[in-house]
Amino acid sequence: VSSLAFAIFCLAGFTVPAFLIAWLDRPRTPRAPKG
Amino acid sequence: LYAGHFAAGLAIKARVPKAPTLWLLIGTGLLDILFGPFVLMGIERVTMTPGRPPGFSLDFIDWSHSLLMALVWSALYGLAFLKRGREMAFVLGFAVFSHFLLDLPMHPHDMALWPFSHTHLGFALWHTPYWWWAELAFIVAGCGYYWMRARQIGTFGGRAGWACLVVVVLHVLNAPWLSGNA
Repeated sequence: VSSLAFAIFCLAGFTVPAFLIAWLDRPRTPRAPKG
Repeated sequence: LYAGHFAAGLAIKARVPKAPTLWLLIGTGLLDILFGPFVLMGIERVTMTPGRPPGFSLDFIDWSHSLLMALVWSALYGLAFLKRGREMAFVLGFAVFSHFLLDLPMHPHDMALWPFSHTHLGFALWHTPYWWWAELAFIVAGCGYYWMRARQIGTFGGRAGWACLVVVVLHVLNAPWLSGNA
């Protein structure tokens, strides 16, 4: 494994899941009442 | 530790709901995020060890993972959030330092006290068959606390169950019997 691939793995391995989990953590917006 | 760091970030979020989730999660992983570029720059070294858990040997990680540098990175990261108040700066700095605390039981005696120190820390759980289960127990505790607080408080964790599932899936993907490093 090259150093560059390892560096990208370290960066992406933490930042990509961090963005996804932070997105899932957002509070749900209340639904607009019908009618 | 990998997915366990995300569980730590979520547990801190549950304890301090005002803290920014993304920066907490980036913070808990910061030492490993730095480790990659440091290897690329040649100031830290790693050797792949296929078939031997965890699949690599961390030969020199003093600039990202030594006790002194973990404190330095934590302080710098916390300072970056000082405009949000001292409490937030401390919480985000602690998120970074939690990485060192959680790595301590796992790492095989490769975490120096400071760069080039001859004294190294780490209880080598990685070299036992139990590390994956120990990390899973921590993930269940951290994510369970986050999920419970999210339901109680309601200002975060809109999809707390999915967030926890992502952490568990990351841990499953990191299982030694999937990577051939059992």
